[in-house]
Amino acid sequence: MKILLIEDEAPIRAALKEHLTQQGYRCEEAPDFASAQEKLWLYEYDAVLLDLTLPGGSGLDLLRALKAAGARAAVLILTARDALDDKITGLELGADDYLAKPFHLAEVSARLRAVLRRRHFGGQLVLRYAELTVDPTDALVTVKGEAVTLTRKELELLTYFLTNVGRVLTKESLAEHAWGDAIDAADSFSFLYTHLKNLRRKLRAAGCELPIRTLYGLGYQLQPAPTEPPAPDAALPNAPS
Amino acid sequence: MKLLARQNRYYIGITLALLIPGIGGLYGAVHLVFRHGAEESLVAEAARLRAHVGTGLLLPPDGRPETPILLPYPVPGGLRDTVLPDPDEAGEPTEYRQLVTPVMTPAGRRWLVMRRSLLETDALVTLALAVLLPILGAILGALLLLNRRLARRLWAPLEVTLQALAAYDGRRPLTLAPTTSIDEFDDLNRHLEAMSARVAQEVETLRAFTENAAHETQTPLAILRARLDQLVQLPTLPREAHALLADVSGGLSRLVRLHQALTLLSKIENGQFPATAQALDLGALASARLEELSDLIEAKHLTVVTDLTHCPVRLHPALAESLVRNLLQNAVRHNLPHGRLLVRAQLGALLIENTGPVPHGPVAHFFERFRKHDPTSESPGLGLAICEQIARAHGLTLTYTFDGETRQHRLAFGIPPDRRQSG
Repeated sequence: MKILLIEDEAPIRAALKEHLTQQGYRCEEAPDFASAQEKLWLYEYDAVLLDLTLPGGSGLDLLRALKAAGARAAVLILTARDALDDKITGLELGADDYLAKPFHLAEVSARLRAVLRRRHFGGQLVLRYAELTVDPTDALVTVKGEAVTLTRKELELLTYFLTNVGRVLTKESLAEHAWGDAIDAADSFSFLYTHLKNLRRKLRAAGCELPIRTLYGLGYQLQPAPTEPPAPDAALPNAPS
Repeated sequence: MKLLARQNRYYIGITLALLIPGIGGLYGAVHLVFRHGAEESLVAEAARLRAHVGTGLLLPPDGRPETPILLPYPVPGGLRDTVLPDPDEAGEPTEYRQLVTPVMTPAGRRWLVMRRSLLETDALVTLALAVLLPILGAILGALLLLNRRLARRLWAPLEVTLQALAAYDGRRPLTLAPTTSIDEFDDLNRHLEAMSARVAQEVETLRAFTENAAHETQTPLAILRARLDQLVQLPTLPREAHALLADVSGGLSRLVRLHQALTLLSKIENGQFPATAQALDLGALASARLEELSDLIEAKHLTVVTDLTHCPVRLHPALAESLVRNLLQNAVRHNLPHGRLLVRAQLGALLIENTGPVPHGPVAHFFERFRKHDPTSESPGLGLAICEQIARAHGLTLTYTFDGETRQHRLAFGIPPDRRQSG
C-alpha cells in the first residue's frame, strides 16, 4: 500500500512516516503544494494524507484536482480541530475522512485502514489476530469460527488494538478513540479499565487470550500474535513486519 | 426625556411665567386708565355744576344714580366707590364712582353728589383684553411652533447619528453623514467615526492575533502528541519512564482540550459563527449526547430522567452541539456517585438538573472562565463559560440556580420565540 503524506511540518511528517512505515505501508512525502501537485500528477497512490494548510496553496485545491483527475486514492484530510468549514468542504469535495489535529498516530492508522478498506476492498477486509477475526462491516467477531457478542465500545477498542498491534496505546488515545469528546465528562479512566476487562473476559471465555501488556499508568500494548497465520489480505498489513 | 420635549417644556414654562403677570398688569393698567377718565369727567362736571348751583338751577332729581343731586346733610366727601342698583340693568347692583363736594346755594350749604357708572369701563377693559389676548396667544403659539420646527430640523442630524450608533456592532467602522451644516454635529460625527475606526482596527488585530495564536499553538501541540506517541513505542523505554510519560501524556491532553476550548471561546466572541445558523432540535441533540455519555453515566451509577420533546432553535450546528455537550458533560462530571440527572427539552427551553457538591462562591460568578467546582478537578472550567458565551452571543438566556436543600444544580437554557423557528 502506497501512501503520500502531504504535510508541511517536518516533525509531524516524520512521525507519520515512521509510524506508517512500521505498520508496513510505503510512504512518500510532500512538504508543500507544488511538490504535492507534482507527485500526485506523476504517480498513483492508494491513499493520501492531506494537510489543508500548505505553503503555496490550499489542500482543498489539491483535493479538487485529484477528484477531477478521477484518481482512485483514498483521501484522509488533516485539519485544525476548529476549522469546521474546511472539514465540511473537504468531505463535500470527496475526501473519505478527516482527522483533527493534534491526532494520535494510532488513530491515523485506524482511520487509514478504514478508508482503505472502504475504497479498495469494497468494505470486505477482515482483521485477524491468531484465531480471532473481526469483520468491521457487520461488526462480526469470531474466535475459532464461533461468534462472540461484544458491545459497541468493546468492539471499537478491539479494532483499535488490532489495527495497532505491537504499539503502546496511551489511555488518552484509547479513550478518545472509543468515546470521542465524551471523555471530557470523565474524571478518571477507570471506566476504560472496566471496558477492557470485560472485553478480555469475553474473549477468554471464547477461548482467545489477548496478550495485552499494561504499562503502568501510561497505557496498553497488544503483543504481536505468536504465530501469525498467512493472511489473505497481506497487502494491507496490520502488524509491523 | 427627549431633548426637544425638554426644550419645549422650558419655552412654554418661561412664556407662561411672563404672560400671566403680563396679562394681569395689562388688565390693571387698562382698568386704571378708564377709571381715571371717569374721575376726571366727574371733577370737570362738578366744577361746571358748582356755577349753576350758585344760580339755583339744577336738574330735577329723577332717582337715577347718575343724575347729580344736592343733599341737605353732609355725607363723606371726596371720590369713592359705591354700589347701587342700575335702573337700566333691571336694578342689577352696579359699581359706581362717586364724587361728593360741598357747595353753597342760596338756600345754604348743600352737598353735591355725582356718580359715573363703571359698567362701561369694565366693558371697555374686557373688550380691550378680548382683542389683545388672542393676538398674544397666537404670537405665543406661532413662536412655539416655529421653535419646535426649527429645533427638530436642527437636531435631526443628532437623531441620525444616534440611530447609526444604536446599530453599531463594534466590528466595522461607522459611516456617518460627512456634513450636517452644523459644526458641532460635524465634529461629533468625525470623532465618532475616528473612534469606531480605532475600535474596529483593534478588534481586527485581536481577532487576527487569537486566530494566529490558535493556529500556531496547534502545530506544536500536534508535534508533541505525534512524537510522544512514538516515544512510548521505544522498546528500550525504562520502566521508571512510564509514570513520567503518563503524566506528560495526561498533561498534553489537558492542554489540547484547553486550547480547543479557548479557541472556541474566542471564535464565538469574535462572531465567527454568524451566517450558517440552522434550524435544529435541542431535544434530539441532547438525546444523542446522552447516548454517547451512557458509559460514563453508568460508571458513575447516575439515575437519569429525561423528558425530551421538540425544542427548536436556530444556531450554528457546531455551536448547538458544543452547547449541549458542555451542559451535559458538566452535569455528569460534577455529579455525585449514585447521583441524579434530569434533562428536559421542551418548546423554548432546555433544562438540566443534577445533584452535586455545594458550590462555593457567589452564584453570579458561576459562568466565569476557569471557575471550578472542585479545585483539584482536571477540567479547565471553561465548559459553562462557553455555554454562556454562546447564549449571550445569540440572544439566548442561561440561568443557574442551586437548591441548597435538595443539593440540586439547575441550569435553564431559554430560547426566545424569534430563535425558535424551524425550517
